[in-house]
Amino acid sequence: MTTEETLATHGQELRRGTVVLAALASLGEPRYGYALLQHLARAGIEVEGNTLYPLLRRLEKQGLLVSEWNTDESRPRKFYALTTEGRGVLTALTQEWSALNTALTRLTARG
Amino acid sequence: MTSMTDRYVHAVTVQLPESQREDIARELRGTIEDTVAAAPESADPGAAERQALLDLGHPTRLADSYRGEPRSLIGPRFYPAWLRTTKILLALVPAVVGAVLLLVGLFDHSTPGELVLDVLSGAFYAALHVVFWTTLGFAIAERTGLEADQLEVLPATEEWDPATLPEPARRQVTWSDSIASVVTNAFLLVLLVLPFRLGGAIDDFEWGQLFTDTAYSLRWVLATGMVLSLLASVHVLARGRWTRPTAVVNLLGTLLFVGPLVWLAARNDLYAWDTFPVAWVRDAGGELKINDTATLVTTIVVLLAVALWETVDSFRKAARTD
Repeated sequence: MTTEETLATHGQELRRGTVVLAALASLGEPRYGYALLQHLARAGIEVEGNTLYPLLRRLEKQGLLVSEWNTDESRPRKFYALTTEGRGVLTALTQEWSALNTALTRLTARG
Repeated sequence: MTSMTDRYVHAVTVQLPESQREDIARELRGTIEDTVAAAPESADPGAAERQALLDLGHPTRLADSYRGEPRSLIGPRFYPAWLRTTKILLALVPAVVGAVLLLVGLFDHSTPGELVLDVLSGAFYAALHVVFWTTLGFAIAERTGLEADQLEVLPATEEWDPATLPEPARRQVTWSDSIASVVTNAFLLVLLVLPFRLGGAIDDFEWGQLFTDTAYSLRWVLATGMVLSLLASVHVLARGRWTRPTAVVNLLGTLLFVGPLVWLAARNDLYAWDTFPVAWVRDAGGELKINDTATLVTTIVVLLAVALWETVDSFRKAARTD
């Protein structure tokens, strides 16, 4: 494995866990899959559709999201939004993320 | 012809549980349409659709991702053992079956063409059966791991205490013993299900049919028994120990195999005395040198002894495992 490939694997591992937090943080207001993907991309979180769409269903199954079909527009779209439980998890994960961020910032600054 | 998107959505959802198909298909189609619609206006719609599908990736990968788990027949835990067993069996069983058929063919004065064809097709059948039944056995072992897992490691659900860690589990049945048992069962099974008769009905009395037509017509019962025993022995090979369910399956297989044989022998309907390879057993006067009764009694005693030993041994070891 070349260094670039190794780096790519580690980078992917690092980002993988953050997608859940990013998705939960963006679903305070209801969004459908493609719109969420766009929203995340604009915010600087690059995530593949084949990761995000199945993830939304898993989070719904876990009770963190609730979904509703909207058929008013030309194209029927499935909108996802946080549940109360999802809000709780979002708060907890946000705290964990900031603790992690503080710790890693300190560690990497020290070198 | 349906659109590329329709075909893609179908290819993904057909791999998913029926209850989720419609909903996922609807959402996926909408998402693809959104993606295509967002492409720059100058872009060719066909190319944009193609790119959208390529970005979503291979339908099977996406379906795996929706399902949340990759599917595998034999997981990483058993794969090495499966590979090892299959290799050993493939090296032994087809060769032995081929050798038996070669001998039969030589006695039978087959033409070289027939001989080659019989040996090759017999070896091919043997390979097919060996791979199929071994794989099935391992697939079952993979899916029936619960009680054995808890024996070998720890109950995964309960609170655990380092003090209650079990001693490292040693194999109760050694690799060579369990391989030998799998090989024996596989070999007998292949002989039973060969598409032609050993010995066959041949006019030439030099080499005749060994077993009666009744025995021959019962061979599927025997083969069923052998399949059960083979699956049990593969399970033991994979797990390294006997468990009660495995021992019960093995007993069932033994009954189906030994039962008909003993019954036939007791009625003197097992060996086809008339067409036995008479040249070997008849003396110059044409009298049968072979003692019918003694042969039958020996057959019954040996069969019962082997069956009894195997049953007692497997249940004793299963009891020790429990």
